[in-house]
Amino acid sequence: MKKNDPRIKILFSIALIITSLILSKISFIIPILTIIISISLIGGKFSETVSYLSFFKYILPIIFIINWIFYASGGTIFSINLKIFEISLTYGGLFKSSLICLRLMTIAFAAAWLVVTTPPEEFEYGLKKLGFPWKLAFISSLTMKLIPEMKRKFREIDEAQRGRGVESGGNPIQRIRKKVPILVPFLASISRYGLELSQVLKVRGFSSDRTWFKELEFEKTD
Amino acid sequence: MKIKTDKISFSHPENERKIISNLSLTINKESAIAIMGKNGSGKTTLLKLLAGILKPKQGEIKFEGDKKLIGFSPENPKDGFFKDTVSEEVEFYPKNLEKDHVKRSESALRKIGIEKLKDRSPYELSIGEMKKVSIASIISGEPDTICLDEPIRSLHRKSEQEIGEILEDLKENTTIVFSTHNTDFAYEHADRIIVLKNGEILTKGKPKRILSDKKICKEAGLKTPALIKLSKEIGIEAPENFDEAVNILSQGV
Amino acid sequence: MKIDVKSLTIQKKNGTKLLEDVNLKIDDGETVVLCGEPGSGKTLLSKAIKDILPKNLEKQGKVKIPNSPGYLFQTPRKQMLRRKVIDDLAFELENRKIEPKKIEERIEKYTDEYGIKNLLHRETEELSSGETAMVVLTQVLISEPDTIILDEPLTQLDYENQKIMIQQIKKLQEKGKTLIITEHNMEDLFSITDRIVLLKNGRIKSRGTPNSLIKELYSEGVKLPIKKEMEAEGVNFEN
Repeated sequence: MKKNDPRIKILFSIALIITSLILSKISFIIPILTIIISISLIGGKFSETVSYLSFFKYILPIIFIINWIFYASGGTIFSINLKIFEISLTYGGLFKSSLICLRLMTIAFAAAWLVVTTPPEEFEYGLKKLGFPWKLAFISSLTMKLIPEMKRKFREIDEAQRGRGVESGGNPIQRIRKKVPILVPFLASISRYGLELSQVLKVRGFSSDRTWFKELEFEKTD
Repeated sequence: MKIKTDKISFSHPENERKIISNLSLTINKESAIAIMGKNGSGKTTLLKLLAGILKPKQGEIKFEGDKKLIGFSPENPKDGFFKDTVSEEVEFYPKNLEKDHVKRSESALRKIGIEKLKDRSPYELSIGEMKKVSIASIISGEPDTICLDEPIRSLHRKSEQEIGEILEDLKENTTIVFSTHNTDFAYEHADRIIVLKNGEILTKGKPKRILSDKKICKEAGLKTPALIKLSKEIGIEAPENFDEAVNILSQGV
Repeated sequence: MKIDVKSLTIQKKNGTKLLEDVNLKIDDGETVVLCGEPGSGKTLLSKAIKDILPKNLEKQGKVKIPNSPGYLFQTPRKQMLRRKVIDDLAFELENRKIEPKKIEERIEKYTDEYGIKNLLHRETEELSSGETAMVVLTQVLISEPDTIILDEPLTQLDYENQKIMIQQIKKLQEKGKTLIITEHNMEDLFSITDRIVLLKNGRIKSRGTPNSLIKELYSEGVKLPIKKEMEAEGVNFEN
């Protein structure tokens, strides 16, 4: 098998993800997270992987705090008494929440690393060789290919609306409302693409019963 | 209002490649300026910079004067549409500016000549109609400068003429900056042309002079306008527009 | 008779007819241009010939065509389904069950012929519009179709790339390919077209050689070479 055989990467990522879900001790998960970060650093793909996860920095703190409150157990560090209920930050909650967040980070990182290091076509070929139905694999690799295009379209729409007086800023509610003129055309363009996709697939003779050019590439290095 | 750029450069955050390089130009309260050049020469990016939508990575853009309102119409009108009806679409800009949106929208629709489309859904229109709605939706803000990205691309000859007439109308009190490949259109409707190559200004000046210059056209990848080509072939002075050419030639040479 | 369109009618579910009773025969090696305003039905007709109509439309009548034609979309970028150029070129051949070795040979041959060998390992997303047009054209031709349908091939290109596309069209004509092109701008195609079919509101209004239709094309808003437009306005160039 070729050194960079996509199957290895896919299986490796899945193994990491499953392991981090099974383990219930922080002291075990940290090494796993360290492994995947080190691999990405060695491969030179660390910063790219991190950029894929940029939206995470908004979600992670929220998840952390919510779980900290929710899994209250053990000694209380701090508590607020609101008329209806009491919010306590406990040691037990801190522990559980850290576990959950570390797991999430590991899974997200492993998944993002897979996407960054594997060209969609290799990913697809790897899935197929592992026994997945090809149509499913193709759809996932096509989605991967489309991500940068969708990012670009989103930006173009944002710029178009700025030319009509949409300014950034304001309180959170105002900010969300301002996303509507961007989201609507964006979703419209995605659905247009979906409609055209079936025509494009037909034109290109889409068929599950096919040969594999990638085989040549992987055979050569044997 | 005056827009002045001083040695501006621009590149996308994703890659280093400079789309606009060291570009300086001034846009005064003049009528219509065409930005021309090959695909990839930076036309759209320059338009967005002039409209204030993008900020330059290096250099400065100064917007001088009272109004400071610049509208931008994208190449694909569908990038802007998100309302159920054309009139709501056109009301959007003045609403954001907290002006009388109903009145302004009606006035804009009338000016462009598309009042009959006001209750239609923008998505159901033909491409020519969509382009008109897009223009209406920015003049409703009453900006004193508008930037149009490829206003006539993919348009049928009739729609192209209609857009040309609209621009001539708007020229009276709006500065229009537009990008196009269509040298015939630029020749007929632009008062000044800026030619870009690889993100820099190759040359700028009056359309007739630039588009009659074979060397410039070749270097910038521009097609010599049909009127100029024909007049050179026949040996007459290039007419201002098609109708004038027909008149001259019908009378015999 | 190569391609035979018989009594083709296409309508929306609510009964609105988008194409009505279209009859058209196209010979081997002919270059036919479908002309008309946006909404005249020309693109829809080209899609009907390729059999890629949107699913919500009803079709009556028949289209007979001996082999599967190649199809070039108006926005070629839409047709690229792979991240790397080389994989994209292989895609259709894989679907047609061609042996990998043979795929390699064809890629070699066609990228050589169309001068895109240097683009083989580039990402499709990064190509310039001119490079995209050439890659997609190669992608269409690599399956070696006899008939090629081109939907407004010049509209999205700048002048230099339009010249290249016209050259490629001429080359295909020399090879004896049958070409069906939809366009509303006949400036550059006028002299290399065998026949024009003018559509209006879903019906064929007229058909014939380009020169025989000058006045009609002009009044329907089709862009012609400037001399022809002036002829339509009554200017006589016999001086």
